[in-house]
Amino acid sequence: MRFSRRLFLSGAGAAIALPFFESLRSRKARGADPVVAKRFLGYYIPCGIVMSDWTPSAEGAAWAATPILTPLVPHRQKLSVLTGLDNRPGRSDGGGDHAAGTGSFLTCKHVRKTAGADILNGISLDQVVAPVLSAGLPFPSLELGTDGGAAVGDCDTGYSCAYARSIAWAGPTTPLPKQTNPRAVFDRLFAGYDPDATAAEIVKRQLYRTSVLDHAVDEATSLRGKLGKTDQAKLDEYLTSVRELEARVATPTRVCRPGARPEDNLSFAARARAMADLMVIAFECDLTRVITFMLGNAGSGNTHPQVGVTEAHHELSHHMMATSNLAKLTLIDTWEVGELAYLLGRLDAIEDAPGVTVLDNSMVFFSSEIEDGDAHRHTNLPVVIAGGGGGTLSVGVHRRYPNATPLANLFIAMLNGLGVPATTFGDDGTARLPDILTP
Amino acid sequence: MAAIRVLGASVIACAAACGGTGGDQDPGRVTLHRLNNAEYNNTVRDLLGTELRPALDFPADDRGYGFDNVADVLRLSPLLVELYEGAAEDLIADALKTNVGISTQTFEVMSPTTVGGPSGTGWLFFSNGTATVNVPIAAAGRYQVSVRAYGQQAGPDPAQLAIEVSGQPAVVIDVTAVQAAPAIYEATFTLPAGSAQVLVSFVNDYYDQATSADRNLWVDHVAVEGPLDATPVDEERRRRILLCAALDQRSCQTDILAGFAGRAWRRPAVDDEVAQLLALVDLAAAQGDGPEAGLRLALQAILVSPHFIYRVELDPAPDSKLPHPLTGWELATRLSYFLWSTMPDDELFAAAAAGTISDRAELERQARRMLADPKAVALTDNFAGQWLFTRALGDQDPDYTLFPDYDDELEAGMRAETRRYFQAFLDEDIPMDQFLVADFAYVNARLAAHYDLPAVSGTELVRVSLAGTSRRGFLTQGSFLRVTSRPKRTSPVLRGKWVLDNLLCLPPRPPPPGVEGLPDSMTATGSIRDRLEAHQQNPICASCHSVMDPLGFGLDHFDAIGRHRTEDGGYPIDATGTYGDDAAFDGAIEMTQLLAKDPAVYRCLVEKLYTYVGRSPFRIEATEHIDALTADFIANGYILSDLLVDIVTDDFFVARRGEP
Repeated sequence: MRFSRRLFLSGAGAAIALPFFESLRSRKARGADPVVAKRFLGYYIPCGIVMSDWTPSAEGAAWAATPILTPLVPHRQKLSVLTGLDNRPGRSDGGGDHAAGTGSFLTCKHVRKTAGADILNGISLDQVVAPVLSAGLPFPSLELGTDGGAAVGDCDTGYSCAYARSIAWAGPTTPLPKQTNPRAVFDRLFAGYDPDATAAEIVKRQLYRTSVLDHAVDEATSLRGKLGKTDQAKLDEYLTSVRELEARVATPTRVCRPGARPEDNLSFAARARAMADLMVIAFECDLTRVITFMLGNAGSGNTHPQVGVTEAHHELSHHMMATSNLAKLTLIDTWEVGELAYLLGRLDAIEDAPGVTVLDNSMVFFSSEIEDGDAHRHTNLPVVIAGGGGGTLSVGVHRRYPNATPLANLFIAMLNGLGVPATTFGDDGTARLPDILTP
Repeated sequence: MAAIRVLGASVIACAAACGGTGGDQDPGRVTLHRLNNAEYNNTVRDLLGTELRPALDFPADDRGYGFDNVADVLRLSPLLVELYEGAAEDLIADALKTNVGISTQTFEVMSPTTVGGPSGTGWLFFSNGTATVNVPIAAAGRYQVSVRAYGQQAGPDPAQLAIEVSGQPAVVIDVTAVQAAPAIYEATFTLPAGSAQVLVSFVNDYYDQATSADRNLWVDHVAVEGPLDATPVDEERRRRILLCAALDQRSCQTDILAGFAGRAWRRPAVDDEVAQLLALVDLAAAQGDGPEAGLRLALQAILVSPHFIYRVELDPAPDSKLPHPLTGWELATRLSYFLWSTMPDDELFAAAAAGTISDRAELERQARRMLADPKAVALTDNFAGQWLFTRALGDQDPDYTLFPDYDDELEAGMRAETRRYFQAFLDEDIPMDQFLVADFAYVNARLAAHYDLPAVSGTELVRVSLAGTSRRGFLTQGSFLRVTSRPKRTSPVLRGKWVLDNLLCLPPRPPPPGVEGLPDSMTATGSIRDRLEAHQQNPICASCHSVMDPLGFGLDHFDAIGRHRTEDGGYPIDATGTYGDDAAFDGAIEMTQLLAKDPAVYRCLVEKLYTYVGRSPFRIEATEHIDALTADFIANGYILSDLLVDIVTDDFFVARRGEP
């Protein structure tokens, strides 16, 4: 019996509770040398942070909670707050700091200012580690967010929407668009999921999918020869994508508990929460080990009725030091940090091995495209790193770095911890940031 | 005059005369165009008759120059290909659905069971146990499961039968029947299509050693009937794809695949292409699947193909700048996606096949036919929706404490009003020089009250006169006034910037870093206008704001949700300003009159449409085309439908060239 994707999904959920995380469990069962499934999660929030309500005064392990960081207190042993890191490549050329800073959020590259086709950035941290961490998994990485993008107009002062909407970049000209409907993400994660399928049925389904994609490659290859060079470059996006998908179709299917299919048409806050649950499922089921998430796009104009703030976030972020504006921004910022805390809590409640949680094996990077919303600075960014990086990350403190310390140096340390022997990163990463990794 | 250019002739003449380049007749290069999300949804709607709209969950399209259909910036990602592949499977499955009648499937209960043994025609559970049968479920719906059973009764209770299906809560039934007269016991379940696992259990075994009283349960068959509530499927959709019945015949398979590929790819499929599709049918046959399964695979492949995903236009010499006319198929496709945002219909395909579409008169006839078709609403949704920012309604809610009256119904009314208004200019040939100053509006009861107009009744829009009111034209419509406001207040800057960007095509430079924004908390120090006057004090700010802000001030009699007002936060409205260097105005009526007289507004509209065709307005050859089209547009009385016909019969629309 062949199951179509939809047919099966509609029957999933409560009815099926199957063993999950088989691959890791079976390795664990062997006892010796447990495999460490390292993961990376990049978490983006828009419009900066009210730094006076964020930055702890004390350094070291005994930092006192500030209003915005209070939700993180239960997890303080498993995270660090880093002060003084700069992402100077994120500066704009004559306005557009939100888009420029967002484009450079995980690339630390100064992006080319253009609203047209000639976008130029660098490869992002998550895409550097994806082939290493997610090899052999169903998804090399997941790109998730809450907002597709404003429906009209400029994205930001002459910068392409690609910079404003994507923090994951597979290469200088290839932003990876994100999914923003939790239900569609769920459907994608569990497409073809069929615990009743026989081995022969699984093989046949893979053969059929591969054949359709082979057909597409053949047609595109034949078409390519008839095109001019610009069109060839366009078609190459297609060819590359089809070939990548074809390679992934051969990945063994995974039996894992899907949880409930999310509702459609969720509010912004409910969407954020549903995405957090999906990130947890994706890590728990080992569907991928690399995720990036955007809690809004560059310079987000979202309102936050869930915390009683009805102004648009971006407009409010130009607070002009007015206390009422700052108070509302702190409400938004605290809610955002609360969403991070929820995610960390859930990742810390799932064990990869006895006494080792998914969070322990993860590296989470949390920050914004700018420091303060009014000043549009790309210096002294609000940064939290969380998780244990599979025993490589040294956390539990608030650390101050000297002026002009590049964020890219933190990324070098994280790359090293995740198994990539980088010594430079982006435009200004030249050395591994000290004290990030365990000795 | 450009309007009477002879289609294609000047291109060809020039090709000979201009030494192998297009010269001043250069149609420009057009990039391979990926269907954007709106085009994808419309295309599968028209190709398959489906209600599915897969692209609603595709990533948001890239946008360039204000529109989401600019081929140069429409990128494609691995995620999108994965979603295309999944959508193809869903779409073909949906299109080939058949009506599922109510059927009954009967299964003997003999094995496998956990306990008991055969007894007569059935199975006797002599202690608690379960029999399992797997039942194919053809379509989702309600199914009745019935079990023929009796009890060997003993002890205080009758024997109990539990029926459980696919993990749903078990239904437990008292079986009072005895061996002499077995009875049928039923339970109903709502099941998804696929396969259901039916568990039939004996759950209250009883045995009393002292008396040897022994309670057992006998069952002989399980029947599954359904779906009891199957929704009828329109099988005409299936027949439109499966053109013949003998699916196992090669000639029938060829007809089906060539027919579907020809429509999906918007040009005839060549023999080699059909042969490759047939290979997929054979592949499925080799796997032991029937011809329909193989055809499904090939049909999916057609929807994943680059010839479906992209609008392919070819050059005889891809590296030559020599212009050449489009083929009939290419031209029909360009025309269809421009005016309809979807694939050509049968009539356009017929004109393409006959080659008549390349005739100027026929092209104009087709264009006018298409503009009269309901599908031309795509121009309103996709062109006007982006040009006029109507699509942004709903992106950001106004503050519900300040504007408690603003709700989804009002917003829907505003959206409908602007759609209807633009559609009237398109359908009724109202001159576009009235667009900013027209003294009529389309309102329903809710909008009429919102705008302080005489009452109308009902939710349908009706055309009313604005004579004697302070409203005129598009700029005083709720949709525009809302999307150019902040959640709590108006923004004369946003309104002025919109006019510069979208009516005059004069986008202002971005502000210097660190000076954006106007905090809400400072209202106490003056009206918004007073606070914005600060822009005039700073020469850097004034260079742009002295032009931009007054265009917003002129609309200051309308609040953030489009209501008329006479004061703002206690300060009287001052809606005076200057248009350009010296034309003074007071209020929306005078300002919009000045705008409507400015030829720049009409050149800008042409530029927007030219961009929407899929052209960069910043190429050298574009300036000349836009100027010529504008001159025609003005000379011919500002008729939008004529402008559209002028565009689609222009050399740059009907021809293309390669790229050295």
